Amino acid sequence: MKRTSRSLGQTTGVKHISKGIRFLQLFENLGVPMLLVIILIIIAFIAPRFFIRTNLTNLLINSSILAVTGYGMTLALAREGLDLSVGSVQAFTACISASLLGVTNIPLTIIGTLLVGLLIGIINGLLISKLRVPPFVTTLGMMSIVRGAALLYTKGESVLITGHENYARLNSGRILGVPVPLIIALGTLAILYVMLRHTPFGRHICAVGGNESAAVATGLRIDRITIAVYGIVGMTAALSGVMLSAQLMIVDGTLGVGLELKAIAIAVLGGTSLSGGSGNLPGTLISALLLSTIGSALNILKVPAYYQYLTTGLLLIFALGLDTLRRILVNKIALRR
Amino acid sequence: MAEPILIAKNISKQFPGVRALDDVDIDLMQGEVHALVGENGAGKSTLVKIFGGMYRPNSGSLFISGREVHFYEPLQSQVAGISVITQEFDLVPQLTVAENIYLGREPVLPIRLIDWKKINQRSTQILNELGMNISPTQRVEYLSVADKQMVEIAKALSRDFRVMIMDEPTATLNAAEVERLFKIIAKLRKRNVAILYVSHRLGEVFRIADRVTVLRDGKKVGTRAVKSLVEKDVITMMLGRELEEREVERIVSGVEQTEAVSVTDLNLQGTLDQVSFSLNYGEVLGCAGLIGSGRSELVRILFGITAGWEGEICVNNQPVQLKNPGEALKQGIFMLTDDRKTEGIFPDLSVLENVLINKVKTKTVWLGKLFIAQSTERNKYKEIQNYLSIQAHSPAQIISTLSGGNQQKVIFGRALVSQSKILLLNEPTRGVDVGTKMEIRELIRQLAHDGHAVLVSSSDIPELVKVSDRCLVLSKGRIIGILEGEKLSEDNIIACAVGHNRIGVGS
Repeated sequence: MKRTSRSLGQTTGVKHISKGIRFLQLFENLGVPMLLVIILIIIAFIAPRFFIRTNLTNLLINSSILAVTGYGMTLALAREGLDLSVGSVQAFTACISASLLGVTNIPLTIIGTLLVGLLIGIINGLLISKLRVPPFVTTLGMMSIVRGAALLYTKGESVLITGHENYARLNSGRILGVPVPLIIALGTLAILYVMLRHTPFGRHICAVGGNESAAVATGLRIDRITIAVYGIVGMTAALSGVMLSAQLMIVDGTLGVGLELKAIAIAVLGGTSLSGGSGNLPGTLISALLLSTIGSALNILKVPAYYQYLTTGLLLIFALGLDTLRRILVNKIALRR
Repeated sequence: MAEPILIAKNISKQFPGVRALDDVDIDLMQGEVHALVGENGAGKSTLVKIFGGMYRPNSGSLFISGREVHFYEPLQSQVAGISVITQEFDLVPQLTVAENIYLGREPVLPIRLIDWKKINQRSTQILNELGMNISPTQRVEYLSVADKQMVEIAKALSRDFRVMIMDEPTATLNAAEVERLFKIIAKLRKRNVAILYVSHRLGEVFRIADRVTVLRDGKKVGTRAVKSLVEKDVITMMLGRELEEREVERIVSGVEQTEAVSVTDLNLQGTLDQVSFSLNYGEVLGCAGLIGSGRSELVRILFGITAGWEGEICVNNQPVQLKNPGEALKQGIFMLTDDRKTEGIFPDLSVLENVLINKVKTKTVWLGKLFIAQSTERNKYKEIQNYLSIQAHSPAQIISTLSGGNQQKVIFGRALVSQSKILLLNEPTRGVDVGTKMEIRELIRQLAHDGHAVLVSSSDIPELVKVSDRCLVLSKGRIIGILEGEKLSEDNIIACAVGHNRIGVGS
């Protein structure tokens, strides 16, 4: 008797669900690109000078460097963690790459720098998984330690990279007309995207981040996954350090301040939830473009640079608000109250 | 029935201060449904966790197909062919159904990429076997509780297993979903799987189980063939005494029955339609209705959670808006949630703090409002503890260490402390063991006798018949009947609840 009335209710429920889900998924995939387009249109009206070639190239380079760090942050968030040390690691590795260039060739410099980033990331991962120090605390501490290391290493002075024109091409070069940094950003995206979405390891990152106890019960090796994730985060920060040193050709220990906030902002805005379990890497790249676009437009409009902190903060809060809203909608759909 | 697949011998488990299991033997046969029953705290969950590899017993041994096994972690239990389905699902909400089913065992292509075609095909096959038509690429977070449970079962089916342990599998299911689950259990039994079915609900045990093992205070009382028993025997085994199946006393209230709440022409888009009734001080008003009848929304409106209604609600003859729970509390309305674990208790706080979370109205000067006066609080607590007979060894005990029934009483305590006169009780005995159920029902009668206006919304129809003076029956958002006196019976409530769509009703 009861079954009849219930199944009637369910059919309407199912219909409602698929509609809700479709809307959510559409929003997740198209929300940020649409926002970017809208902002570009507005800029076209109020600051047409934005669209000159040098500015656009600069914009792409800056977004690429930011996006690379953002990828790592996206993975950390998917693992239900975060890494506040990325800014310090970027500064430290930029300095390391500058001095490695003095003793060896470019490929070894890049490899060496990435290894330093990997090592710092692995230490983060070990502390988080083996000593059970929360990621927030671990990486906050590491942020200070690595910043100190960078300043000590350079003795608080600037280091000039001279006589390495090929190294500068990592920033200014073009392949088929595309700036090299963008190629690095897209290449990294491709590798990490396939890793996250199509390999067991990537799905396990999401599984551990989404429901750790379920992952334990299934026999996944939580600690290994965690250490690997933070290792990758360290490497992406180091890669962005390399890219930054090639862009500036003069480095010091104070680079990358506030980068962690920007990286979290673009990852969350790109559709990666702070509650773990999923990571939207293409979204991170597009959000990096969005954030840099806003920064660049403000620059052209001669708005003082300090306002960029404001925009980053506002974007972060806005993105978190959207994330919460999404979660509420998911719950509503699932509970059908 | 063939030979035993899983044998547990002399299992004991000691926790600090508690002997959770004491020398328990149990064996599961191929193709049998073996029910495990006992009151809360009898040791059922501990035994389940030992089988699942989450706990290690202090002594005793486990045998699978005659060979002794030791589980140091959950994975070993799974490899040995045991599959445990708990109330908290071991699913990752953000992953798809197929990914969850094959988590940790994903089929891969030669280059270590996941073979999506294979994983989705295989998952569809398993889901079809279960009679499910959900897509394997659906994310689990969008599924209903019942469907999530099916995914858990599918996960078990995807690997070789011989023993399935289900811990309270029907706790959150509706009638149709329970039927579907029973069909699947029957299928599994035919495949010679041994099923350990842990449940409070004796009705289910008698429907599907072959044998039943009863635990009490960590000891095994006995294992019997279900056929040789009646429900009363099992209850006696569980309690160690006969349940005094006394009727809950209907105390004719001494209080003049004045109107506490009156609802006139209440409408809520798509859920409630011209609902009118009144609730008096000194009475228990039942509220029955299937899921989707608007029963839960009605209570949520009265507590100010659900907004957007039309019509008139009067409390103490004054029309009220009830925009939020705070306003409802001010009107003296208190609601008991049906989801104690997530909406009711503060698990890490003490019993005392849980009672006093709605602050005590004391006549202290202003400074006293900032600081909590220990002595006043403790006196208040003593009073409440006596009234409710909460079994806690001290007010400082952490609430999550109490049994479900006692936690529920603590939340009743909150209502008393806040001096609310109008009580809205959602599923007051859900997740409460048999003995305490009785006490809570008596408590509800007592509260009405002491002048409270009590609305009990419950899916447990016998319970409504036992406690209420009058009973509303909702169907599709409308009040189909208000039953009282002679007419207040299980049959009548069910007839009313489903009467609205008699056409096409199977049985």
